[in-house]
Amino acid sequence: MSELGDKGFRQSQAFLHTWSGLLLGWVLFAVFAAGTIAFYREGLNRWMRPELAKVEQPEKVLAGAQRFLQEKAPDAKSWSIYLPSGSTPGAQVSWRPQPVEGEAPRRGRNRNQVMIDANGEPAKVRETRGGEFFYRFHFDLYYMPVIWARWLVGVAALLMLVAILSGIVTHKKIFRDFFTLRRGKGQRSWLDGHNATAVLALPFHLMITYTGLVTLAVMLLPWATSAAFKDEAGYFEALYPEPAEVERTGRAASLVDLTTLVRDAEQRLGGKAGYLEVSEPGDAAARVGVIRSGASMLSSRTPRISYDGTTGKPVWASPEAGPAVVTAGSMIGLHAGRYSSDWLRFLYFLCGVAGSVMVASGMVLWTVKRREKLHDPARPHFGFKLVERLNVAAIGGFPLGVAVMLWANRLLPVEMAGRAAWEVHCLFLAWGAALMLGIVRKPQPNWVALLGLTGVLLAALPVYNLFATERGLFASLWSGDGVLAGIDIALLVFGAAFLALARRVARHKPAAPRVRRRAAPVQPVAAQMEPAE
Amino acid sequence: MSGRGNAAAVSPWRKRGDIALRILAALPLGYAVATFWAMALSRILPMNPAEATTTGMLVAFVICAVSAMWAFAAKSGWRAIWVLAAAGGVAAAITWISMRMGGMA
Repeated sequence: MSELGDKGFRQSQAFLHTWSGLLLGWVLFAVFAAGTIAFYREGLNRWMRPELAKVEQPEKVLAGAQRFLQEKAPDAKSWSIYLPSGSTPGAQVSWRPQPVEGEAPRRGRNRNQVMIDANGEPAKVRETRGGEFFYRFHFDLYYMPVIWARWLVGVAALLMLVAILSGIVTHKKIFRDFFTLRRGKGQRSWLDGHNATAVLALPFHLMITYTGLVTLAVMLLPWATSAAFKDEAGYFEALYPEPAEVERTGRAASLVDLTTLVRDAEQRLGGKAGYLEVSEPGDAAARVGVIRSGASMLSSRTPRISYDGTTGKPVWASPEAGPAVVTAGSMIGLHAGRYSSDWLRFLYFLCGVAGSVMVASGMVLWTVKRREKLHDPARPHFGFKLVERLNVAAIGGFPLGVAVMLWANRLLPVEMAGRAAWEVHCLFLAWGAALMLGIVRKPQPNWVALLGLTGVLLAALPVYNLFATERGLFASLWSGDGVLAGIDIALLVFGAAFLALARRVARHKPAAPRVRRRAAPVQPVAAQMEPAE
Repeated sequence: MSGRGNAAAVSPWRKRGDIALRILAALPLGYAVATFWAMALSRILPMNPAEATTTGMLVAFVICAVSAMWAFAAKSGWRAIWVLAAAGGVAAAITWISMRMGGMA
């Protein structure tokens, strides 16, 4: 409508805010919530493997990893080791066998993976994806090719950026709203809640959305590299120079002690090492590459150093990157928050929760605002019903799925085939059930059922841990394991919050529609155009 | 252009058409403007190609978001279309001229 142009900047942006926020809001909610959980992926990696102790002596684990690989795959093409630290349950090691002549290299997940535990032995541990699931789901989603998923997530993030910027413009009194919370006032309360969570963590929302786009930039802007480079590969070569690959000589030579090598590398790299790769182990041409840990610096562009594997002499180091590349790397580092200390990480998490609530309350607000203006509240039009029910399915269903998945992690038999995948299937089965419920039943009882069930399941998890695992809340507190104790406490707090929400929704009586049923036809289009303020 | 909007009664179809034009201007066109500017910056910024390309990409998302906002703030849908097309066209021209003149990494 040309009216958009005539109504002034703020109104036009209110319109844009409403619709750009709604369009992929359900995807955005799941992405935001999963990303928030993923700030504690290392913690969840441990929480979801309760049989493993925390690593106290990383060097012992690394020595064990080298011993294991030496026995298991002495003449592999390459080994890789995610180096252990105090926040890991051990070292994840994997190896690639020598390629067989005339056989295409295997694609997909590498099956040659083992976890080396805190004692340096191959761990007997339940098969689980741990916290990594939330990290991957956050941009790869699930059950679909990752490239589609990343485009979908990328477009959702772009809409989010537009929704945030237009949301700021829409606000007349941005700082007063910050301090306003009118409780029990229906639409005003929802609006206040939406504003509070949005404005309170506004710098975070802007940062996380923009830096999230930067993580996907090369995919989202495929032509951006085409003007200065022949192809994307040329850009990546300029961006991430790598040492030349080595040829196997066939002369056997023993590999240097990796523990000593890592100590040397940490000195030269200027911080903790995070990842190690050996090419052609056991051969005279062996090379060892060590990469600095992303947890030890802001930029995600972590430097790399390469050693001769038999002499232990450094042979190559990644060159210093330019300012723009470091800026991009730092944005990605800011997004993932791996550099953050315990308290900063907690702040990240709280802001992520605020963001999830902002998205969820915005979606609910869309229906709350329109409910009063419906011609016949008993029979809302299709669009209204769709949004209302998808809200229940997405916002009520995803947390339930997470709770069910955590229970599956505890209850599925340890020797079950495909156990890790089934943990994830359980999440989606529960989420799918929430969607079915959303289709067949009225929204309000569904909110109560889903929120209530989620609350009970979450709050019961720490209780189960207390009795069925060695790492219950008190044991964690006693041994000073702040992360595991924190996760248990967070589960209790979120369980209680979901139960409280369920109770509120159960007691809620929709305000009697204002005298609106008199024949006077409301102007439907104009009504929807009302600014969000 | 604003004259149309001031007419007492605007037919719903004209309103829908106007919204459709703005959506076109915001999404495919706003994205194209961002891409073309990323390309132009990767050619003309006085840094090495990897640096210039990275800078172009970092700026592109701001351009895309602001283009989308402006598409809805413009006086009319048609105006949103032609102004954004011109903004993208300038960048496309810069890129084209620069690529005709110089080589590539």
